[in-house]
Amino acid sequence: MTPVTQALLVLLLPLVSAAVIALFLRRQGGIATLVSVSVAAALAAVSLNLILGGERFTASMEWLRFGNFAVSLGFKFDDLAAVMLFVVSFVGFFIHLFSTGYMREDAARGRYFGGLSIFMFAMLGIVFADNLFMMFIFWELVGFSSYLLIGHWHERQSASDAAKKAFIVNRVGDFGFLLGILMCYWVHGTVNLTELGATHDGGGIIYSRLIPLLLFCGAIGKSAMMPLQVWLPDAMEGPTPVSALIHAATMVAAGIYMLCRIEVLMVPDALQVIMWVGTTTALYAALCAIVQRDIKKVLAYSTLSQLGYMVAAFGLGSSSFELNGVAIAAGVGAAMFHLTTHAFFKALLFLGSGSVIHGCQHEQDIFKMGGLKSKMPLTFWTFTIGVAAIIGMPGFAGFFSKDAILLLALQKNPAVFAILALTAVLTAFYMVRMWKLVFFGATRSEHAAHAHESGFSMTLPLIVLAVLSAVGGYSGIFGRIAGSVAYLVPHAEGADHTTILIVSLAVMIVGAGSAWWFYKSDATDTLEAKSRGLFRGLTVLKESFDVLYDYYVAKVQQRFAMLLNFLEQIFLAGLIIRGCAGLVGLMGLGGRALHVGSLHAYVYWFLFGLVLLWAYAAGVF
Amino acid sequence: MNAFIMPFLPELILLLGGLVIFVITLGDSLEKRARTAAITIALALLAASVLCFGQEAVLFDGAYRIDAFSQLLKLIISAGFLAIVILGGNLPDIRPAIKPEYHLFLTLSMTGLVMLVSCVDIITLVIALELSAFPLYFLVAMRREREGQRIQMESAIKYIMFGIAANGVMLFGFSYLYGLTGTTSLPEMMVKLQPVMHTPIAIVGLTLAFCGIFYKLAIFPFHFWTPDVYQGSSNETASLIASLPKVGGVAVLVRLASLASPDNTLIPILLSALAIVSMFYGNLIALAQKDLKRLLGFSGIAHAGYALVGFVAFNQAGFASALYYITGYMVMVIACFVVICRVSRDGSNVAISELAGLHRRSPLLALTLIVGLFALAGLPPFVGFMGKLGLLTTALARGHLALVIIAVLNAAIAIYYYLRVIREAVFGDDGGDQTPIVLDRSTQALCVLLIVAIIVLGVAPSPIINAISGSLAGLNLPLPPAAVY
Repeated sequence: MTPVTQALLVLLLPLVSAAVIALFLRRQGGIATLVSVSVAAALAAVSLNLILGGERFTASMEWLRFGNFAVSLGFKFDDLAAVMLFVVSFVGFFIHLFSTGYMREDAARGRYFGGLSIFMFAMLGIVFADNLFMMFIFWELVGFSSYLLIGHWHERQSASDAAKKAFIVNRVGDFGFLLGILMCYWVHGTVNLTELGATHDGGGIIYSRLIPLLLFCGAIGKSAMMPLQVWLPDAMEGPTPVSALIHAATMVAAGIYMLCRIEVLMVPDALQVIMWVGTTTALYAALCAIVQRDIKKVLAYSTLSQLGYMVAAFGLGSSSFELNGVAIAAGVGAAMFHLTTHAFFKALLFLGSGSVIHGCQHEQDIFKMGGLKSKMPLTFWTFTIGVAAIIGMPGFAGFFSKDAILLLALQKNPAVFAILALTAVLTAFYMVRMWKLVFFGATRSEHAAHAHESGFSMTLPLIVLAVLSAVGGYSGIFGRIAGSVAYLVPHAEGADHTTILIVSLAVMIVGAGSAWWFYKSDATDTLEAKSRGLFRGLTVLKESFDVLYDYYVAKVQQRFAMLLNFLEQIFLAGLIIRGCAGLVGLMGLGGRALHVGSLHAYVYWFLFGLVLLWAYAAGVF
Repeated sequence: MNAFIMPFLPELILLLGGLVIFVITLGDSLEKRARTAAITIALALLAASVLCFGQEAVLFDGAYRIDAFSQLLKLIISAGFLAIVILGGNLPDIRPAIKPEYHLFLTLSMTGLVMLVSCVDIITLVIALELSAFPLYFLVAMRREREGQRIQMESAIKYIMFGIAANGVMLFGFSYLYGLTGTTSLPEMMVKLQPVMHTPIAIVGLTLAFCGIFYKLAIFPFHFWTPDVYQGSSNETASLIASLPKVGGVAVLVRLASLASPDNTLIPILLSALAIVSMFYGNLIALAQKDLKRLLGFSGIAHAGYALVGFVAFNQAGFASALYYITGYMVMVIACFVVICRVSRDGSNVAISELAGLHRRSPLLALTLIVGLFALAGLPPFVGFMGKLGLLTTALARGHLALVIIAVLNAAIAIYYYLRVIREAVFGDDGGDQTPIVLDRSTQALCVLLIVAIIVLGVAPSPIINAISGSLAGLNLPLPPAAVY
């Protein structure tokens, strides 16, 4: 098989699976599971072959043409796409596998696995897309499948609300994304990623800044950056494997991937904005994570925070970064590196939390767990590896990737460095807090008391991902997958090396140690008991955005919509539409009155018409 | 087979078939046998038309001509005939005693139509026209009387009166043309008329001759019979009157219109005025209809107006698109009438509200209705869309911008009442009546074929348009060559 055929196979297999499940297997959950999982396995195998085969190519075909404007569908498979493909297909497969165990009892399994398949199709489309229009199409498909999966338990009001919220908030960002694409086409005359790389004409000072920022809006929505971060915590209403796949490892990372794709369009001013958005989000989310009670919400905020890291890394490292005298796109390297390791350990943490939730009969409150260490040993140890990776324990994957970002920050912008370091402290703090509350101390509820280790289909993915979280940061592993992207990852030398090592060790020890010392594994939040003000402050911080948006929607947008509705009812619907329709209808009634049904009348009309025609033909008028 | 008989196989089959059915009518209650005979004739006619495609011959000193144009139309007409016979079923609304006779007159009317498209002489043309029209008058009157209601008689009288008057006017026009040229042969007349075409008498003659065809097509103001006859005749008869004669009408109009020289300006203006009035008139009144057949009647007036748009362009592409459009119209309207015939209880008329819940009672019928109405409304990818597109592009290419705008406006008005019918069929409140409508095999096949035809003709129009253009080229019309279409 040629590489192009393989890529086509990888892209289309999940679509076929989704179609088959949607059309024939909605009620046969068992067969649907089998179809979806075997397709995921097949495409993981083919992608692995494609990635390690080392073949890189572009291929495209024209899809639609309107005058001079053509929309093409095509593959751009370079090293960057290879990394992302690895994350999506490999992590995706293990999450499919985990789902077979997690969703075993679910009556609507067919719909669930169909949703997973359509998501894989959409996500792979983003990975392969060789132009921004194609990317946008799959971008929207990803949003759609995310909507389906968040709302999987749609009988729960909160789940269907969360699905709607995720979709609508994403649409806000996508609006900017689409504008950016259109402007890009207008200025550069192409949206093809390869051709864009060859254009150096920025189209003037305004457009050269506006285009990357508008495109960044798409990433703000999909990667849940501030101020559109509100949908991601709510999206935890979906099944836990969905949270692992979509809202931790792949879809939310699509924003970062897209930024790396359009790196050539970036200008320093735009990067500055992107850097600050990422940094703020990282800190904000870490603060919010401290006061969460729901195990998945803690992980959701931690995801937000880590995504902020990646975006900040991208913003920090423009192509002017010099490493050993050679200018490289260090931001792309650092962001993709962290994206990959994060996909491993965050998927691991989510699946681990899924295992915990499954074991505890769907109890999600960490204050009602406790003492699970001995009841779920395998989950405990894999989860511990995940925690070690995310807090940056030396030797684990997160340590390397986070260090690369901190190094960038140190060299570029001390303020960002300080904030990111503080975020790292907080990360260690809230992760250890959760870890301790869940696995140590006394068992605090009926469900937790009856917790049991999950089955093989759930523990196998945990083990595999734990191994990757442990070793995924070594350049031998990452370099094998990422090829040339791995060379873009900055490595500290000399004095910087020492500084970074000390700082990252220090923040980890301070964060983790203080959490271990501060929190007791108890039914109440120690922070709430000891410092009520701080706790309240953080809670308000978390809720402020939702309150603000609710206020805006209810008080501003709703009223404006009512005003427009009023005007529409009177002018558009009333005068213009009803008026025209009424007039036309009246003419119809009038015309119908001619049809009196009497032959005499008809004959008169006939003659009248005849005379008229004759008169016209004879030239009377 | 003999080389002389071969080109006239369709006509001979119809004549022979007519005789056979006549013999059948002499016996008692042989309606089944008559129907079988009619279906056999229709199938044989279709086969013969296919077989004779591309034949050429002349008869009666050139008054009757077999050429590519006539053979193509015979093919179209025989396909329509087969559809009509199948759709008639066992004629639920015809008086039981005269059901065999119904088939006899149906076959005779077809004979007239098939002959009509081959006529290139005024005399044969009038004879063929009458032969196709008179049996229709009888068919209208053959509807069963229900509850003492005799609306079918009234309709038949109206139909016959209009028909005779229109034919009289047409003959009067022909007499002018004969007086001017001294010939009854259309090709000769075409040549001799050119030098005198600008005179009022030639234009009057031609205009009056058109009236006979306008009546067949139901162009304003010769349309008054249409809704009453649709309503008064049985569903099967109405589906016949609505579809096949219009194809014949357009074919004859092509021959008559080509008498006028292409640089004539008066006739295009006249035709566009009639087209505009017909479109508005048909569409506006259709808005206010409750009876589905009456609605289709008024919409038929509007569609005849659309077809006239092709004649306004007055070139080969325009004629070709008019013929293509009317062929598509035949298929679309038959699709709608199949639904009417099957939905109707014991053959009575169908109000739009009776369609409620059709998609539950018979999904296939609902689909046929939706496809048919969408096509009539002119939505892509159906034939109605491609047909309108062809008409409008040819008219636009000749600079008739105002006409095109008005036609589009009318299409917009028309969508409203077509969609209203569909809304009733799909979302209407059926009051709990969900008795399934059982369709026999032949009806199912007919529905599927009609849907396929509507889609295929719309998606891949080039074969039939090429065939029509090619056959028109064989007529040697004094026209500018076809624009690229």
